[in-house]
Order: sequence, then C-alpha cells, then structure tokens
Amino acid sequence: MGVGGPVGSGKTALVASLCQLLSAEMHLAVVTNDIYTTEDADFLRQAGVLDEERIVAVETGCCPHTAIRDDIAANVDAVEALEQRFAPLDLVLVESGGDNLTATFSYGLVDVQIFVVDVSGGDKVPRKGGPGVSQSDLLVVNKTDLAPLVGADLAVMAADAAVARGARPVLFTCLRQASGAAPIEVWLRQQLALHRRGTLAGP
Amino acid sequence: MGGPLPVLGPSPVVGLPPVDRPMAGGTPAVVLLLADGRFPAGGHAHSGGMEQAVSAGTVAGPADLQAWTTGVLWTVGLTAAGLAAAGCALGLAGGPGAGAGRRDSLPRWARLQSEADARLPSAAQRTTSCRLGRQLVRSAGRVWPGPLLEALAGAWPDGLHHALALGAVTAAGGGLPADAALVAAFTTAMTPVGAAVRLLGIDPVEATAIVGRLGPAVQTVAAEATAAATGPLRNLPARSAPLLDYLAEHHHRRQGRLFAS
Ligand SMILES: Nc1nc2c(ncn2[C@@H]2O[C@H](COP(=O)(O)OP(=O)(O)OP(=O)(O)O)[C@@H](O)[C@H]2O)c(=O)[nH]1
Ligand SMILES: [Mg+2]
Repeated sequence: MGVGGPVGSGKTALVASLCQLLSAEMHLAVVTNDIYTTEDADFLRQAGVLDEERIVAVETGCCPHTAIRDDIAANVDAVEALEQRFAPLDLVLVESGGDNLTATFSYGLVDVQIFVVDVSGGDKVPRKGGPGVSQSDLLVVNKTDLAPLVGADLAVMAADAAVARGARPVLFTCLRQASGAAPIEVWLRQQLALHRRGTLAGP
Repeated sequence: MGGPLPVLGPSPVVGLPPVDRPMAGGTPAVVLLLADGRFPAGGHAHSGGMEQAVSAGTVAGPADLQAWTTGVLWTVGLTAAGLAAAGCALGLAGGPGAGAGRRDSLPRWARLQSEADARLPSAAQRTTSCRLGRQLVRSAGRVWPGPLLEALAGAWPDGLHHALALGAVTAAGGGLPADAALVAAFTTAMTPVGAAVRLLGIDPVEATAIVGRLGPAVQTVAAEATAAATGPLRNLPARSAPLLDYLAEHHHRRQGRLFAS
C-alpha cells in the first residue's frame, strides 16, 4: 500500500500507527522514500514499531514523484527484497517522499494508496485538487486539531473533497491522538479482505 | 604486498556475431529506449558520482562539469562500453535471445562478471553497479521477454554488473555490440550531467551542450570498446578513475544524500 502526500502531512505518523495496530497479527514491512536523509526510516526504527530490518529506505535523486510513479524500479527492488527475505508478508507499506498534490503511486508498485493532506495549509487544499486528492483510494485529512488555529473549516474541506472524489472515501483524523488512526485501520482491513478475495478495485 | 600478479589462464574469446541481419532499419529501438533517461530501470536516482563531486567542491560549474564528463567518458566510460559490447556479443552467441538460455553460456557470463568486478575497486561502486544491473534486467525482462534475460535474472539474483546487463538487454532487444557500447558510453556522460542540473542549478541547455560537444568522443569511445570486445576478455578496456572510486566510498558512508550513488 502506498502512503503519499505533501511534506509533513503525517505520512510517517500514519505508517507508525498502522504498524503498531497490525504488527501483532500480520507480517509487515516498510519502504520509505526519504528525500534527503533516512529520517523517516530512522524515526520508525526508533519508534520500535517494527523489527529494524523490515524498514528499508530508498533514495529518489531529487525526484520523489518519479520514484513512486514514472520509474518505480528502486521501490520494486526494495519491496521484492523484503518479500524474499521475510516471506510471507501480508502487507508492505511504501511511504513516498513528501511531494506535491500531483504525486501519486503507480499501480505497478502498489495495489492501493492513501493520500494524506493536513489542515494546516488552510481549507483550500481539497479544492485545489490534483490526482492525489481526486484519485487516491483513500483521502486522509489529518491534523484536525489544528483547524481552529489556522482558521480552516472542516465542513468546507469535506464538501470540496466530495466534489473532487465522488464516491471515493475521505477520513478526517488527528494522528497525534493515541487512537487517531483507528478509522484508517478499519478501511485498510476492508481493503486487505478484498485483496485476499482478489476483488480489490485497482486503477 | 608486492608479490607477482597471478597469471590468468587464457580467456575465452567472445567473438562478434556475424552481421547477418539486415541493417536497413538502422538504429534499433532498443538503443533509443535504453539511452532515454526515462527508461524505468531506476537510473534517475543515481548521479554517477556527481553528488559527492559537488559536495567535495570538485565540480562547481559548467567548466568543471565539462572536464569531469570528458574524464569519465574516456576512463570508466570506455571500460563500461567494452563490458557492454562483450555482454551483448555473448548474449547474441548462438542466435538472438538464445545466449544464456543455453546452460553452457553461464560460465562465460560468470567470467565476464569477474572481469567487471576486477574493474571496480570500490565496493560501493560494485554494489551500485549490480543493483542497477538487477533493476535493468528486471524491467527489460518484461519489455523484451525471452530466455536470455530470464536465465540471467535467475543466475544472478544479486545482479549482473550494469554494463553487462546493458549488453544482455541490447542483445535481447535486437541490438548489436556496437549499439550496447554506444549506450554505455552515452549514459556514462549523460548521468553526471543530468545530476549536475539538479544539484547545481546550472542552465540545462548549457549542460546538455556539454554532451552535445562530446558526441564525436562518445562515438570514438564506443568504437574503440567494440573493437576491443572482439578479442580475448583480458583485452577488454580496464581504464579507471580513482577519484570516482574514492568519492563513491565517501558518498556511500555519508549522512543525508539525494542520490543513491
Ligand atoms: N498537531 C498535529 N500534529 C501532527 C498530527 N499528525 C502528525 N503530526 C505532526 O506533524 C509532523 C510531521 O508528521 P510526519 O508524520 O513526520 O509527516 P510526514 O508526512 O511523514 O512528513 P515528510 O515525510 O517529511 O513529508 C510531526 O511533528 C508529527 O508529530 C496531528 O494529527 N496533529
Ligand atoms: Mg515522513
């Protein structure tokens, strides 16, 4: 599963929460696409959410969107290496480097993808649209706790997201809270069930 | 230290295949695809040593970039082109697409892999080269499916060296050793230039003009490499660039980088 979205929106926080929620009952691995450091991979390793060796970082040569969409070779290589080493894996989470609203994953790399935006840039983000907002399998609007501080209207964001996405789901979260990722976990379990039955929608 | 170098036995001769296919079509598409930086085999995340060269202050502007690119072309570029031509010739031996499909050609690939190992003294460079080779064979194996790339992917799960993979893929795509050498030489020049545009913010047209001016040199390097690949393996070009090895080792160990190499 791909986890994409702009810089700092909460992608790593989401990956960490999902690992915590799921690692007791399924075999997981993580690939991060840090832009300049191994910050995300290091954070996840230090958070202790997963065995260190199951977290791998790939470099993206200044182009995080290229690495998840146009030329996925390094990510495929990393995922296949993890699959071989830790077989059988139930779920591999691929976090993209923080990028812009047009950066989405190729379905050659992932079966399903979440796009994470946050409210701190104001309530215009869903209205601005782009493939991440309109086409992702799940749109997460994170940091709802900050809405009053930046004057963002969550109702406006929900309405604009519905226009951009039609029937595709949207979840509002505060991943800083202990149970913040719970609604996303529910959605992900549904996707896994569909995947096991071979009926995941795909692109 | 200092003992006599071991004498290698006679190397198998990798002969150029007879040019019995019509050349009327000119440049095969495989050459254009492999030379295109958009070919999805992971090359975009590699700088060919440029990221470390920029950090070290070795390359700071267009003049340095021109000197650097000329240097890598005539050294590691020639070496890579020779290996690519030899790989392509081996891939074509026994008919297009059949090469490694025949069990008996795998020892010859192993010998070529050792020749490539011996030409890359930096462990970081060897790892990078094999990773790029593995990614290339994986992607190209779906673009030009057949027994050759399948057999090589199976026999080298950690990856053939990139130059050899380039040769094999060129063969699988219907190209000749000279084509593989040309792509290898061109890629060696183009990779650091592409990275320098991102790292230094120099004018992309000015940067591209460097490779444009090197065009005749790229062809000369490819021709020399192709000729060398018709002889015994020990005659393959073995030029190196010690600064590149040195920078690669530092790049591999550093914290915080944009490029994988
Ligand atoms: N207030 C608030 N902060 C949050 C929330 N979720 C994440 N953060 C914080 O936002 C910052 C960025 O979160 P990350 O998870 O690192 O974001 P990211 O999308 O992975 O960032 P990059 O990988 O750098 O693009 C961190 O300091 C998090 O603690 C939230 O719901 N509310
Ligand atoms: Mg992150």
